[in-house]
Amino acid sequence: MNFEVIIGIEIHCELKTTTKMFSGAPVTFGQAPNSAVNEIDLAHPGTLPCVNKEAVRKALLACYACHCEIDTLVRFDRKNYYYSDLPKGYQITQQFHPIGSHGYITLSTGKKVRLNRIHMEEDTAKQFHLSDKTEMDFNRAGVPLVEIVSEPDLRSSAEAIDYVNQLREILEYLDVSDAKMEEGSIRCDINISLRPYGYDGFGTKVEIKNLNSLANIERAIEFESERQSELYLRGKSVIQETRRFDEASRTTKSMRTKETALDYKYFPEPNIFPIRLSEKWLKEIQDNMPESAKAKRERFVGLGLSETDAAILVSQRPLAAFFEETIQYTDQIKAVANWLLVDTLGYCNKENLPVADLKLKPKALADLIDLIQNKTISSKQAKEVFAQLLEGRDAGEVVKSKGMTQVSDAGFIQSLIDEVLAENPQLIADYRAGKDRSLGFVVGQVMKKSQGKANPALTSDLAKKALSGQ
Amino acid sequence: MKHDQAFVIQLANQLMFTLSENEAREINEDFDVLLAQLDLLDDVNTENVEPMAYPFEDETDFLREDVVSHVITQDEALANVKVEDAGLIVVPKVVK
Repeated sequence: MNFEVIIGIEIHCELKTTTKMFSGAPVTFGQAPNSAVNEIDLAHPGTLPCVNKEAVRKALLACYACHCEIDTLVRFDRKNYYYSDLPKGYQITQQFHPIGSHGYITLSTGKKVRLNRIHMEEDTAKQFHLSDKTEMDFNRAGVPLVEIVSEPDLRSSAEAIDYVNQLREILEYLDVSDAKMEEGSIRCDINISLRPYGYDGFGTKVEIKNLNSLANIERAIEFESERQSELYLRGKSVIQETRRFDEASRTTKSMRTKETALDYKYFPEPNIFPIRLSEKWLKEIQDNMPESAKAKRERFVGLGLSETDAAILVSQRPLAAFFEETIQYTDQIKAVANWLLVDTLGYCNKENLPVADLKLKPKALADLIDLIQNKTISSKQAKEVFAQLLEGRDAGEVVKSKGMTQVSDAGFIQSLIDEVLAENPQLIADYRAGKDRSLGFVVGQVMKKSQGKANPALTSDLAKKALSGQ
Repeated sequence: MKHDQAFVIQLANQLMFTLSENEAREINEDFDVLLAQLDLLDDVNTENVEPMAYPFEDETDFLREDVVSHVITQDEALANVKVEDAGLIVVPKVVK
């Protein structure tokens, strides 16, 4: 590559609220089409918008987490355009006075990416473009959004993906959004231009709309930087335009050029008076910020977990929450992490089950771990119990119903060993002749005779002594 | 502002709808009337007058609580819809 890639990202993020930005209709996902709307969302004549307090609170949380300056006078503007997904003929947004500005996000490399702004707006209706018609679902119309706009500080697709991931993690941990790209709760527009290394100005930028996965962000940036680079190398110029990423061909395609760019004729939204946010409320929000993913990771490491384990636990918010609840019930912190990272995640992956949908209860897992720790059950039995816990049962109940208590009574185990040796007199000679398999055989037989209840470690110790004649 | 039929058609294209020759001619003629009316506004002296966006100058502090207050049924939502398909509203295909 002969050029430096300059990237800026605009992210639209759906806020996790009960109702819409400007109406008291519910925010839903996957409900029957056009059944979660009211007259405001459908822009019936005479309806007026009314700002959702929780949406403003969540926007403020995002602003604080991204180190933004807050405009305490909330004002909205109209972005006018004529399209079927927008029944009012305009979108209510914050063009002139964004709620947050001049923030930044820190990448995993430590690099700071400046944010130009965070502003609130409403989502549009969802459209399904079929071969001969378009079908509309207004359930999404009016869902609260924040748009988060970065400065052109990113220099590669890797940085762009890092940026989106950092932001996604922040939004998820603040409980501001589900932050799921695959469900469309986060959508990205990418601005991309090239310039020769060492040059301070900017080349002509191209905007790529509506990228809905990290993989597509990467592909779009790679394709687009290649396309622009080729144009420059052939002595041609890049034209300022809006393009879209075509999934099938993995290329970008022109949607509209600067000449045909829409003039949105922004003006202040007269139906919403300026709203002053009280200092008291702002302080309350700041004082009650949820713990960030970064702080949580550090705290988990402080509990004795490895950085890798802490990172995996925190990578899914429900998993981190499960871990935290489980360690309320047991002090076996590392064992909890192991059971979650190996057995539980293994089960979730195999069953393709989200952690949030597990029937396993934190208390049951903690009890299981304590039962192993105090040697009531063996680790082999524990796996069997765990399978039952995944069905939502309690550990104590399973152990009891299966009669599964581990026997650590040395006298009882010794009597079983004596029985095995009496039935197989050659074992002692074999063992002394160097056949280690004899030990395994004795332990196996004792486990069989005790129906798996004998404490394996103790059995092994006692068998060794018996075989060697000590 | 200068305008002609071609300009009207260009605007329509940008907004992604089709106009017949007749419609374009009528709209072009309407523009003359509209612009003449707007010219009347030039007679008003607006020197030192700030643009007004809101009828009152007072700020408010009202924010709506995030509680579902009103939702209409799918039947009601679709009451005036000409063509529907399994609860979805069917409109002519216009790809942005």
